[in-house]
Amino acid sequence: MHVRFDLKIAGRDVCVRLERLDDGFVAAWVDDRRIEASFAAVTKNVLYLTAGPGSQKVCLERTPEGTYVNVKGATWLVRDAHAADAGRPRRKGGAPLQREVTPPMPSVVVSVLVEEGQEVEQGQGVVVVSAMKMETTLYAPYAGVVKKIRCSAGEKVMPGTVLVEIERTGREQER
Amino acid sequence: MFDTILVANRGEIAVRIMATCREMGIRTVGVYSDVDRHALHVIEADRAVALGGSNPAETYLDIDKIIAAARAEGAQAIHPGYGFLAENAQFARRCEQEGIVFIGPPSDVIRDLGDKTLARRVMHAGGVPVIPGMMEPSSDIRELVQKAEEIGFPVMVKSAKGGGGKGMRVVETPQACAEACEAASRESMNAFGSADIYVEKYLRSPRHVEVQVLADASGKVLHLYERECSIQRRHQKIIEETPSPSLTPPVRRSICEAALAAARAAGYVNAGTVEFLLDEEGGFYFLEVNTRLQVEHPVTEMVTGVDIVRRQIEIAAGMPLDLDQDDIVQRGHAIECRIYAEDPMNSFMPCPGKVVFVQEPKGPGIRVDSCLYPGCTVPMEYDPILAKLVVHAETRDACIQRAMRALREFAVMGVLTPIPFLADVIASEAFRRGETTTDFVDDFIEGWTPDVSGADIVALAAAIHLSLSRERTVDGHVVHTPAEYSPWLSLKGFRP
Repeated sequence: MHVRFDLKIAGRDVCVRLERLDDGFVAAWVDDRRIEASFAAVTKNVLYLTAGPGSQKVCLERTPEGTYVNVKGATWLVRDAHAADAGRPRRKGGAPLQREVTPPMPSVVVSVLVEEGQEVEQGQGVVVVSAMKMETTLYAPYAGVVKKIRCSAGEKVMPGTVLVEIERTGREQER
Repeated sequence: MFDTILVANRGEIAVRIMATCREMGIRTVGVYSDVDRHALHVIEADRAVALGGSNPAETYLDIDKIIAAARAEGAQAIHPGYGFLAENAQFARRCEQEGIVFIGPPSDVIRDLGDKTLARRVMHAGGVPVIPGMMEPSSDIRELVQKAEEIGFPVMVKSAKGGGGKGMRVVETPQACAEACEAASRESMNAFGSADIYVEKYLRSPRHVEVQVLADASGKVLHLYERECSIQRRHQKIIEETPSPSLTPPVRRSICEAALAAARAAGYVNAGTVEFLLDEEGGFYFLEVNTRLQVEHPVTEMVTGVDIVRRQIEIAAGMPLDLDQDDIVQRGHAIECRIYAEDPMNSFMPCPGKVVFVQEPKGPGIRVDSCLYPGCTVPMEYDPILAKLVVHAETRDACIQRAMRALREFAVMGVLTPIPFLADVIASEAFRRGETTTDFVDDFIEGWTPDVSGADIVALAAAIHLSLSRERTVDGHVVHTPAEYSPWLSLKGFRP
C-alpha cells in the first residue's frame, strides 16, 4: 500500500506517506524523514508507538475540526491541509485578523464604554467583557467613529461577533 | 454523624468532597445550574437539585435556593467547598438560623476574618507582622488613590472581601491607579458582592507560604505544617508543594506557631489556612486567613495522611480532634499542579469549550482530583479549573520527576490547558533549585514556547489513526478506501 496524507500541524504542512501498515508495524515517510515503528492500538483513542529510543503513548480523537493528538501532555490539532486551507475565513483586501471588536472567547458583556456617533482613538477601550470571572477590555483597532453598537451589558457574545462597528476615519496605516 | 450532606459547589471540589462523604457512609446532595446539568458532580451525587439559571448569582451564590435544596432533600449539613458561598458569613449565619450545620467556622469568625482589613487589625494587635497598608477599606476611588500615594508605589489593590486573586491588581504608577481601583472594585462587586477594596505595599518577589490549621469546638488547635504556593499567574496559584523548599527548620517552627496564635486569636473552629508572605531574609508577614477548604489542601493530605474533609465533617458534627500535634508529621514531599482551561500562550486567558478526550495519569504516588470526562463541557460562567494533579514521593527530587512523568501522561484534548507549560516549569533548573517566588511565572513565560519538535511523531500517529479508523474492515483486514470516501486521503501520491 502507499497512502498519502497531506496534513496541517501547528501551522506547518506535513506530508505523510504510509508504505506499510500491518501487524503492528508501520513504515512511512514523514516529509523527507523515513520512520519505521512498531505500534499497538490499545483502544480506539490510545496508540503506543515505538520509534527510535522508546515507547510513546499517543492519544487521538477525531472531531469535525480535525484529529486531536496528544503526546507527552501536549495537544496538537491535525487537519487535512486541503480542508484547512479551504475552510479558513478570508477577509477582504487581505487585512490581518484582529481588525474588529470581537471577544477572544465566549464572554458576557460587562459594559460598553462608547456611544454611537462617538469618535474613538486607535487603542481606546470600547467594550469590557468577562469570561470565567476575568475581565478583558476590547480596544478600537483603528481611529474612527462608532457607527453601530451591537451588544449590551449582560449579553452573551461569541468570538467572531462584531460588538461595535467603527467607521474608519483619516488614513490610519494598516498594520 | 450526619446522614445527608449537601455540597454547595461544583467541579472538582464537589466531586472530591463527595468522595469522602461516600467513604463515611453519608448520602450526598449535589446542586447544579442549567449549564452544569451534565457535570460530573451532578452525576456523582446521590441526589441532585437543579437551581435554575446559569449565572453564579442565580445559582451557586443564591442562598435561598441552596437552603431550600437542603431542606427539600433533608440535608443536616452543607459543605460549601471553596469559592462561591464558602467564605460568606451571611450564608453561614443563615445556616445557623435554619438549624443546618455549616461545615466551616462560625459565621462571626468568617465575618471578622473575611474582612481583610479587620483581620489585619486583629493580627497586628496579636503581634503578628502585617504588610504596611490601609487598615480600613474603601470604595472611594479618590481616597484609595491618595492612600496609594502615601504608601508609595508599587502597591497592591485588593478586594476587602475577596480571595483567590479576584479583584486584585498590582499598580506601578499613580497614573494607572484610579483605573485599576475601579476595575478591582467592580471585580470585587461581581465576585464577592462588595465594592470595598484596600491598598497595601506591594512586596517584590516574595514567597507565598501558608499554614493549614485544624481547630475543634473545644479549643484544641493543631497545625498540619506549611504549603509553598509561590508559583502563581494573575495572583492565582498554579503549583503548590509541601514542605516548602524555602523554610529553614527554625522559620518553619515560628511560622507554624504564628499560625496557631492567629487561629486562637480569631476563635477559629474547623479547617483554615493562615497565609503569609515571606521575604528573602526569612521574615514573614500575615496576608490573610482563608476560612475554608483550600484548593491546594491535597498536598497536605499526601504528606500528613490526614483527610482534611473528613476532619472538617467530624469537627462540624461536634466531634473532638483525636490527634495531637506530635501525631502530625511531614512524610515525603508533595506537589500539586492545577489544570485550568486556559491558554498559556495568550496570557493564560480562560478557554471554555468541550473536552473531546481525557486520560488522567496513573501509578504510584499519583492523585487526580478532577471533574473531567470525555465529552464534558467547560462552561464560561465559572472558574475554569478542570483538575488538580497531586503527586507524592519520598524526596523533593523524586517528586519533581514523578510530577513530570504524570504531566506528560495527562491528556486533555478539546480545550487548551497549561500542561506543557507546567511540565516545563517543573523541569526547569530554577524550580529544581527551589527558587520559587511569586514572579516565577512572569519571568519563566518570557521566552517560553511550546516544544514543537514532536510534530513528526504526531503526524505519523495521526496518519495511522486515520488509516485504522477508516480502512479496517470488520474482520480486521486493511483495505484501500476510495478517495471520495475520505476528505483526509489524497491519492496524488498513490502508486499501485
